[in-house]
Amino acid sequence: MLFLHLSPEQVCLLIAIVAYSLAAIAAWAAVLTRRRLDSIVTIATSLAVAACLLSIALRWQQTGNGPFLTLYEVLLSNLFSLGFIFIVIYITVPRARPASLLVLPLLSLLGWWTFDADPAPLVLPATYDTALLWIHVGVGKVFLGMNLVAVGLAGLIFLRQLNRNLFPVNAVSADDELDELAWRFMAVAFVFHSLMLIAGAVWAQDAWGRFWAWDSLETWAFITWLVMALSLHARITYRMPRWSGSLLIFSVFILAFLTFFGVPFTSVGPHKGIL
Amino acid sequence: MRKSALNLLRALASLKLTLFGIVALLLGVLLAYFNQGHSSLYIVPPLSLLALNLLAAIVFNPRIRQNSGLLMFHICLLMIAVLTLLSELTSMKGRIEITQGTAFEAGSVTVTEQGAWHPLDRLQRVGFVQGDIAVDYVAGLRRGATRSQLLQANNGTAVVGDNLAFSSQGYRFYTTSNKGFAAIINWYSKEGQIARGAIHFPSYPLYDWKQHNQWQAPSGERLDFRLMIQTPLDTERDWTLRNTENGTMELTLPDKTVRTLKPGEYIELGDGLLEFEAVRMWMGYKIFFDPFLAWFFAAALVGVAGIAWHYYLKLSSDGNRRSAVARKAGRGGVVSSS
Repeated sequence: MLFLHLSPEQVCLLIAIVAYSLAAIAAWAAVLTRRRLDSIVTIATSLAVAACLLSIALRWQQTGNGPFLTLYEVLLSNLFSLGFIFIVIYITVPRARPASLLVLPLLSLLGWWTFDADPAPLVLPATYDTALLWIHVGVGKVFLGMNLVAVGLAGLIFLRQLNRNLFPVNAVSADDELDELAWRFMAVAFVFHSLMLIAGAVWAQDAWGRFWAWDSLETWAFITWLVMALSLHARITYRMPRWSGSLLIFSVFILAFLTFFGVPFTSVGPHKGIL
Repeated sequence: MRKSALNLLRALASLKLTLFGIVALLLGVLLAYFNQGHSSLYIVPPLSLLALNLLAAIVFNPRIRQNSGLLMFHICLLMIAVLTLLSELTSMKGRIEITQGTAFEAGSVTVTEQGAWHPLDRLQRVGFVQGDIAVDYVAGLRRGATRSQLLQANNGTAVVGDNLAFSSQGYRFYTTSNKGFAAIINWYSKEGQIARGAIHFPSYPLYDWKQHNQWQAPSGERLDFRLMIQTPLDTERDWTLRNTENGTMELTLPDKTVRTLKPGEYIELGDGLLEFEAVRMWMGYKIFFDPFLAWFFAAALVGVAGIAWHYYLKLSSDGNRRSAVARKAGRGGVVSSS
């Protein structure tokens, strides 16, 4: 009966959440039962990504605006982009597949948060009518996707520190390999985060007459970039224990997560489209 | 002596110093964010330290010198630090409100930031006349597109607003959300002198409930002006803010007498005659000048290209090495989750 009260876009969202949850269950079942369930994970995640895309398209058709403004829209678009980036990596980089154990449950949780958010649309401010918005948001999404995969890999190292029996090496890659791979994704994330800052600065110059201000979102995005630079430098400067490297990767993700999904909705500034 | 100087420079190139510099910059950014207005105080010291560290690292760190991408990235970071300094010295930020039908006057600009090397006389060369202003609103008072027409000396017309600035002599003029109505008034003194001016009312529709302002006549009377717009603000429908022809002026004299003037009407005061000519609009502009903007962009983009190139080479060579080891070990695949 729940479906009767939902809009088609919300039905799609619900399908996506269920598919992400199924994919997460399959990923964990594969480790716990030592069976190959990669194809189930791939199909369920692809279905979730397609359902997200359809939900965005339905909403776009109804509101006339892309998913850029409200918390619901930003969550929905990231549910799509993070899932899309993850499944591309899952298929093309088999070594990164263990990340699914943490990434897919996180995406399921993100889906429930999206479902709980207010879907009421807002009018897009005139300053959002620019190709720079697409570039800025696009490279930002690649950054967060890469960071999320790194978190998935680093998280396994961290969990293994807590319980050695949780992920036996014959089921999940060894720590060395997870660590090396996680930092590869962090390196790519760093490049895309830098591009996001540049595109954002160019857009801010056009829209508000300054490329930098101590605006909450800009400042926290720059802090995230500095923590990434610090993490990458620390890794080549010191022989850090792997768990501390994992903590650095988590801290970047937590900062980025708060910057993407927290700061724009709690601060009053240009990014909120104040009129 | 030379050896100790070299040792000092090598110490300056230390990666540990880089980490310290980044942590210091992080703290500086947080302090600047929470204490807005003192950003230079918190940012300049760590940024200077990092710039010195970068310079020394570029010269002495063989890993940086031998990796073209890494070298490019670090040189660009250093360039951005130097450009930040040059920008501080030469840039200028300001604001101005210009009444529809009047020319831009450099003397009316409120300078909010000005570098020590910025020649303000350059602003005198900027010339344009403010034309029509229109701002779209959708129901619920959400601002849409802004269109501000500017008439240039060469008879050209530019329409600016939102993501499009007017550029002249290196200065960029950006429309702001600050705009409203103005009363054009003429003062005729008894000696036969005529003075024309405009009284700007508070930003509209933000302050639609307090459209009044004060003005002191040359004869000394302090007058209170209240603009009465005949069309009330309807927040429930789409509309366009533009100049209105049917505004009247409520004038409160020093003796508290209230007079209502329509466009073209006048009132006699002690030493002259005050005419209310018409209602016009005014637009608030943000002015920005930074000759190094394009250099910033280029340095940032080339820097990112450098680090991307470095990672591409590093990751692909690591990948090739890993494949070779795997082949040698007799396994082509890799460990995966299942």
